[in-house]
Amino acid sequence: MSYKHLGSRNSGAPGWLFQRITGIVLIVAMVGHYILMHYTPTSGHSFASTFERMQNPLWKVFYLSFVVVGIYHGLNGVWGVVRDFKMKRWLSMTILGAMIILGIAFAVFGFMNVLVF
Amino acid sequence: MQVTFSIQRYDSSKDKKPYRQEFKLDVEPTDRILDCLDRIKWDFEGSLTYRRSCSHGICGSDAININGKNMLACQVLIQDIKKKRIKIDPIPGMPIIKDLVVDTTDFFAKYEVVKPYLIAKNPPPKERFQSVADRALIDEAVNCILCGACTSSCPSMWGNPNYLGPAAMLKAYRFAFDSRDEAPAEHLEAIDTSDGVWRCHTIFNCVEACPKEINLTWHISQLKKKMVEREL
Amino acid sequence: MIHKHDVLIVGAGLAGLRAAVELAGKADVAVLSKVFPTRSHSGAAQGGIAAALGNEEEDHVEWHIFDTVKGSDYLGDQDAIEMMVSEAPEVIIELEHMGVPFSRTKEGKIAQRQFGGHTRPKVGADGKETRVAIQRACYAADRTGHVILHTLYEQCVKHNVHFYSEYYVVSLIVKDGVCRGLVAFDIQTGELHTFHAKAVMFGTGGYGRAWKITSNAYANTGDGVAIAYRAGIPLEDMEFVQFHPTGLWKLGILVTEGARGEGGYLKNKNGERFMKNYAPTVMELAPRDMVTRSITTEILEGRGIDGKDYVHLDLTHVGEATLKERLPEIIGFAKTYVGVDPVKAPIPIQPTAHYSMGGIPTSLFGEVYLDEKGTILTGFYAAGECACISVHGANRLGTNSLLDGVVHGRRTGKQIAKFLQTAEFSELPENADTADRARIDELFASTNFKESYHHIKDTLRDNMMAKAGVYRNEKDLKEMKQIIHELREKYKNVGLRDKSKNFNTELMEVLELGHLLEFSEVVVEGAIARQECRGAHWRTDFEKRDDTNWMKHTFAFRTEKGIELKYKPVTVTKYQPMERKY
Repeated sequence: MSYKHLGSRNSGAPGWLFQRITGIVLIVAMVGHYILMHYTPTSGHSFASTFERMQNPLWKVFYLSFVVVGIYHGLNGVWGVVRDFKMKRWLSMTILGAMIILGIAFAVFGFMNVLVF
Repeated sequence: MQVTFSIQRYDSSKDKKPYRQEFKLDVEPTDRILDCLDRIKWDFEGSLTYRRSCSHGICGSDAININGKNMLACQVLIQDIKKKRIKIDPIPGMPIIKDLVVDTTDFFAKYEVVKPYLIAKNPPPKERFQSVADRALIDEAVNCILCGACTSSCPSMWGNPNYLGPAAMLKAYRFAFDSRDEAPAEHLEAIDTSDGVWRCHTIFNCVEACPKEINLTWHISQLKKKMVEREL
Repeated sequence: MIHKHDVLIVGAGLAGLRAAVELAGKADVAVLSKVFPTRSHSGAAQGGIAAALGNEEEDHVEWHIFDTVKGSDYLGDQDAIEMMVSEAPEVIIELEHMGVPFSRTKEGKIAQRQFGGHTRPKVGADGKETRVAIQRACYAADRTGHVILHTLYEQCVKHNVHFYSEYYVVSLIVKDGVCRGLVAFDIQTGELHTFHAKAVMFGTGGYGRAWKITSNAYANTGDGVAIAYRAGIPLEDMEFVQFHPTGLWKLGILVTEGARGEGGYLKNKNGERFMKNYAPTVMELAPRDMVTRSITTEILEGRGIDGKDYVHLDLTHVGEATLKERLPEIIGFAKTYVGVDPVKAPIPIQPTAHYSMGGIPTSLFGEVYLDEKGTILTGFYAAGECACISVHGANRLGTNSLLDGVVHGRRTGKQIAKFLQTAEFSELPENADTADRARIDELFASTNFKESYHHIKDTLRDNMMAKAGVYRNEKDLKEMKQIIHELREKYKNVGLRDKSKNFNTELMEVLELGHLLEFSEVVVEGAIARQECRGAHWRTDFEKRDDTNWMKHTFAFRTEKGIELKYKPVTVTKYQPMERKY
């Protein structure tokens, strides 16, 4: 048996499952967000109405989760693509590191935008 | 009727790179592509090299690429192709030894990774019972002839040559879902790796390539589901 | 390069792999095969493997023995048949334990179906006992050979058996009555290798490729048989070659007897089930030699479809569900190769050269005989289709071939293990590969392609079909002998166009042709001498079986003066020959 085919024992099952769950969550959340921002006559069209909505802690939680789920789903997807290619370990680890830093930066930026209200 | 065959030629022991050679042949619509290759070899070009044995799609020797699709040379007739120009290449993604013969060492090494055998101890004096329904679960999977057409057609394998590929996945399924196997986890763990089942992105090329009409992607999906159930 | 192993097994079909599994862990065993192991032609077997398991209806080993003896047209050695059939239930259960995915009965047992020549006694309304078809063939849809072959290979992988895949054996090394190894070339590199071993076993398969219409693979060129013959081993009963009744028209691709086992009819151009005229009790499920002759007679007498050389196998009444479940491959073959959907229309079929009853003479334990008296060649074994024990006699029953391969592969493996307990490596003669090297160098050095090897091969195959096929007569056979002589002369002038040593399949085809010519002559010589009609050997210039003079096996020896024939009496234990009616 050739050992190069044994791979690293690192189950992809949780990642695979969460990608699907977060995908479904994102579809629901994005459709909700879209309807809210564009098709609801009373909300979303002005700073005042947005400010009023964001005073509700439940909405804050919604948007904070939206940021986390969105970034996780996006970066996990990119990581999946990276892993599809055979590359040196240092390179994939560098990409992973860059993605984590980028993810944290995006998350901080997103949180700031939500928490400013 | 006359058909032109454009065949990729390459002898790894002397050629720097592959080249193409054309042959015009008078054929019957019911001739197999394999029959045509034989005639080219026997009448025109003795060095044309390809594998073949049973000539009716059960031994899995003669997977080649015909007009861009992986098929068995013995299972495709001229009339199935509907073109006067037939382009023949070795199956992609594997090193070429000579003309249409590729090196399958890696392909079979990947097959061995999944522990391709029934793991079961203490056999009863008679046969192990298996219900008709349980047997039906592996009915498609046991048809695999290991021709390599699926794995060779898989873009995930092209991108990452270490990916075990659909044929090895199917073999893992064949044992992990055999009601008689006592250690499905051993087959599953072998493919729950960075080069394993998670590299499948349901592209369906394998399904299209399989000469035995096995729905490989469905089987791989079942493996993923089973894996999630196990992990969580 | 010289390799050393305790045991070398040549051929990775059922017999070879079963022996390898038996020896794995007990000895250093290596398997050589000209094709990757799972490409072996055992995998093309469709219908089933016989054993009196009684899963579907009452059955007894004794009934199976009787059927095999009668099916062999009383040429089978009854001690060998008794041993094979008695071991059958045990080896099938063992295969199931190894993982063979047999089809199942409602209770979850191994499913069984009817097959030609397998019968049980039945007392009719008139108080007379007749025999009717029985469900004895254990099957996995119509892929029984495929699943057993793959399972045995899986077991070899599990036990780390060493394989030399795509190695082509060219000669045996025999000196002073001891087999010491063999010479083979690696097809991938063209390099000759010498293999040194305490024991060599051949499981190299049949020789059906010498006939134009055949169900056999390109690989079935009788290499093992011819190589053994050249090494001084006689060949037994080579004139007995089974023509399977139902090959796809023109191509000869096998349509399993299981199709008739599931209820298929054979019909001539008048739509008549003609088997009622030949075997009224079992009809389409008569043994193969009889069905083949019946079809051939229909065709010769002008009752083929549209007056052509085929008849119909009609499955349309069997029902779509049954066909899809039990004969899926057949549906595929018929659609792909003759454009017929068996659910809706009958399949055009004609007899096809299928199974070689003859071969390398062996004892019940796979030891190879050097003569008709039973002298054993030390260190050499054979099992499966290349061997002749003889369990199939003049005609093999369907599903007994897979059984033969597995039972005798296993038994030979056990015998080799026993032999190894005391055996040592015998010294390898110096320059064991000189002759082969010279022959191959000569082929590579040939500057012109004076004779085309495929033309010689086609001439041989066309003529063997016409003159040494289902029906034979002295005139045709003598002409055939002459043709082979001429072809052998031409063969001396064959050269290679492909001069690359890298994966040179032309070289292999040329060497295979040499084997075809070698054994075809033995087939014809044996057929000329045997002046009777028995099983698959049917002479139109003789009326019937001649038990007074011909209850004996042919042993053909290769001598400087040509082929010399000797004979060995058939072993009869319980069953005296009687008229063979179904």
